[in-house]
Amino acid sequence: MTPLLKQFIQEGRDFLQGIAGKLIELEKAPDSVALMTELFRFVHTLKGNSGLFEFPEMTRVLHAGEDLLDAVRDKRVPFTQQLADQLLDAMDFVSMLFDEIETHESVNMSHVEPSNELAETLRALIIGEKCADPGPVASASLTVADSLDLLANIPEKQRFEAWRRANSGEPLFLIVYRPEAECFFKGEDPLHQVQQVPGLLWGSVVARNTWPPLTELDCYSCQLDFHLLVAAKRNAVDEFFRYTPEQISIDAVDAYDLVTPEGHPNGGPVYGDFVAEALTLLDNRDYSGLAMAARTMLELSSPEQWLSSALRWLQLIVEEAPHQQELLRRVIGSLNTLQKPDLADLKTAGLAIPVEATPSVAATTSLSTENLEKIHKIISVQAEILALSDAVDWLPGRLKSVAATLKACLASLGEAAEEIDDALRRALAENSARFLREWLKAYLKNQTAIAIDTTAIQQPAGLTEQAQGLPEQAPALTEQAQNLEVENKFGRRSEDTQLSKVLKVDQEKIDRLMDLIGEMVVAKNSLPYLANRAEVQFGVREISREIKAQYAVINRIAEEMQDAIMQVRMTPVSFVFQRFPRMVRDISRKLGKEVELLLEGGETEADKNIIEALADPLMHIVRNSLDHGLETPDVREAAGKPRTGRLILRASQESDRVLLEIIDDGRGINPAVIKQKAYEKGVIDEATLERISDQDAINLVFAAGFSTAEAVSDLSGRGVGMDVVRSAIDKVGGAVSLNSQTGKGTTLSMSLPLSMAVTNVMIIESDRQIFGVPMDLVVETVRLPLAEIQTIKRQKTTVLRGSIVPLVALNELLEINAEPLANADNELAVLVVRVGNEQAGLLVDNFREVVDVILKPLPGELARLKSYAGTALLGDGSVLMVLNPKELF
Amino acid sequence: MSIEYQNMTAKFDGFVSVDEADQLLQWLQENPKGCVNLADCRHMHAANLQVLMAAKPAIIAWPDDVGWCGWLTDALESK
Repeated sequence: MTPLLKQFIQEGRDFLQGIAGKLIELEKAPDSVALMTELFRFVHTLKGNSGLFEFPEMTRVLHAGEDLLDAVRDKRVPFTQQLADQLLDAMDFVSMLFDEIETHESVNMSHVEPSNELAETLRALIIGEKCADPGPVASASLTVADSLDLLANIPEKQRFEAWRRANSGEPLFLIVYRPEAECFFKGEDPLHQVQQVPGLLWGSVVARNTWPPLTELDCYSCQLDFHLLVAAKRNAVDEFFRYTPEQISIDAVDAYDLVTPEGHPNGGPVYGDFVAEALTLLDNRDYSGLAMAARTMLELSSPEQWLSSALRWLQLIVEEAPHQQELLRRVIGSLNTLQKPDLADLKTAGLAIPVEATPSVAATTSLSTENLEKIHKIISVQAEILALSDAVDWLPGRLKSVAATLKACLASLGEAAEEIDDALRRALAENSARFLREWLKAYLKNQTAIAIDTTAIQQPAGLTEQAQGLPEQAPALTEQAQNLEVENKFGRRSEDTQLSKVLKVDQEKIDRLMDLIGEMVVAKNSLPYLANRAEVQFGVREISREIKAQYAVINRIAEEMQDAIMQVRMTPVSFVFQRFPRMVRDISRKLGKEVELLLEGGETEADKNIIEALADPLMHIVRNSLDHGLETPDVREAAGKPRTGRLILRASQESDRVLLEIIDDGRGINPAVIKQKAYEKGVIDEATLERISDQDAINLVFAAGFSTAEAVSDLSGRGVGMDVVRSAIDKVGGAVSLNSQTGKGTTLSMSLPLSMAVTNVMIIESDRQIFGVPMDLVVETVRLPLAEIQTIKRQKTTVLRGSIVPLVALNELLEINAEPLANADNELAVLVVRVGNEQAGLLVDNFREVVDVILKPLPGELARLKSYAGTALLGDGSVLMVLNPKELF
Repeated sequence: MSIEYQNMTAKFDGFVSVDEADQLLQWLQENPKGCVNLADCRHMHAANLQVLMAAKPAIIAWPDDVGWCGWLTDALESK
């Protein structure tokens, strides 16, 4: 993996986290411009970065997200929860891509389709919410009229083939590929590329603009457009153009649109008789007769004629799809009228259209109110489109498409549409939507006067008024957008310089540095031994003193280094906190609960390892609280609590430990239920069931295999939650406790060391070996006269400060065959340690000093020796085995 | 050399790369009446095609390959 890619993944994850955070903050403050701008900047930068690599899927989704956010920022689209959901989904997708890139350094092709879908849904939000501005994205797209013109250009032979393919069920697409002008510099050869398009039936190269004089031609600026007709699956086409989806427009082609005869319109034999005969044959379903008649007729006509072309179509359809009665009827009819068969109504009806279907004009009277309403809705949308700014390159296309839509609407309403043509002509001439707008306004006014459908019309009328107001505002808006763009660019520059002060370093490097400093500390500890040897063995006191002086200096530096590296590794708790807003939001919504999450003390710092070790247990606990603790709003209300539950994550520092509390005000834990469950699951026996205290019962949830959930859900209830929590916390030297009041809520507290790097251990001696015991478990050291040791049921015990402490010989626990040694005063050394909530005394031979060591876990197979927490190197080079008293007993 | 310039004819040969477009354009500017022979052309980069489309020289021979010839005639024959 290249360093650049590594950095991209690292930064990308940070950005994703930031994006999710901002989105959730925005849900609370949807109007915050600052948040929005920042969010936009995150997405924008991430998109830009992704463009450096070949991950078009990621870039595409991010690009769509960026466009959507741009629209939101410009207030063209309101910020809604649905929108946030979509964006979060999209970011999840991107995050998944990151995972994949990290493992495989590439993106699987199977993500092409989802990425397209996601991008489309995001874009649909821009268009859907406030119909229309297709933006630069659709620069290559076609209006309906354009695509029909294009289809008419395709030679008959290819159209025949396309029709055959469509008839056998293959989808047809008309692709307009508009390579960017600089594409030649990117090593692309669009001409070669289009020849490789899957399922290519026809293609054509056209000049984008009229050619300039040769002297002014820039042969390396691509001025070509490509029009292609393909019969292939949509995703195959998408995959083919996966790097440049923004440069193509793909429109599904209706097979009916292909049926357009071509050729000279005049001359040829008289067809009146043939039409009558053909219709009779058709009615009798004599298809071979019809085919024969067509063939005979073709032989009589010159092949260039329009009528011959129509006959060839007739022949083709009879052979390939005789069941398309209505289609055949129309084609035959066109022989009579010499007009291209009008199949517009067949398109939507498909093959199932009944033979006796009435022609479209006659159908107007029978339009259902539902359809009427739909038509009015379409008209009102056109009004909205016309209300958009005129200052765009694609205005003519937009005007044409609006006019075509309006004409189609009027046609189905059975009204004359000539005026629209007129208005369109004038609008195109002046490059302004004004004429069409005026026409539409007049038309709508007229409609309200007649009052066919008042409710449906009022809305469009209102819209047209809005339409008049808008164009003046629109340019101002775009200008504002441009200004913002400029500000943003400058904003980024200034931030870049700030960023350079922060160094992003791989954790491995820090770990290595820490290991080295650890060794330095150990090496430094050998100096006092050396000084000692110099004095005792060689009798050179001077040298010994100098070594000691040097040692003091090195010691000070080493300690500072250790402190510095600890500071580097310190991570704020907010690092794990930040994932919770999203999680709580998602889960609570899934469960139908209302939860307010409060994060406190996120700035509390602890060693990175500790913080990371916290992440999973915290997640379990929060899930548990959401799933079992907090009630649904109705239940809460019935219990006299506010509908919205409250979940608090609080972090604080207490001397050298971090305290974490997870507090909910839910239903709490019912000790009786816990006792019963624990008994049923065999976690406790009957005797324990009788005498166990409520607090102890609550702590049973930490027992392995305990889960109270009635059913296993995907949130919790697999019976692994709480014991995993406890063991994870134990592993980093932490403690966890649970308090609960039935009906009032639950508080789970965790206490963790600030740092695991340096462990304070006490060295003890037993049978001439030394062992370490972590200081945080040592309660006290005492020397007990043998007389004070009593034996109860063969178990040695003693009374210390009024409580009974069991005594166990360390030798016995480690299976060393030796008795603990007493000192000259006949006293035994007892190390009192804390094990869980109880105390126990370890009988050892002698106590030694307390040292700071860097505890290394036992490697490989030795790690299974649970009774040792790890090893440490001492200053004289010897290895100290550090005991884990919790596992000893 | 995948375009051979002989007197008044530019003869395209095999695969004509993007680098040729510059020279082709220059040649066509200097020889407005120059003809183009595409008989042995198996592919040309879009940049070359665009020069031909803009300059509209007379094409004296087309390639044999039907599909490829179709693209060229469609683009270069005046409609």
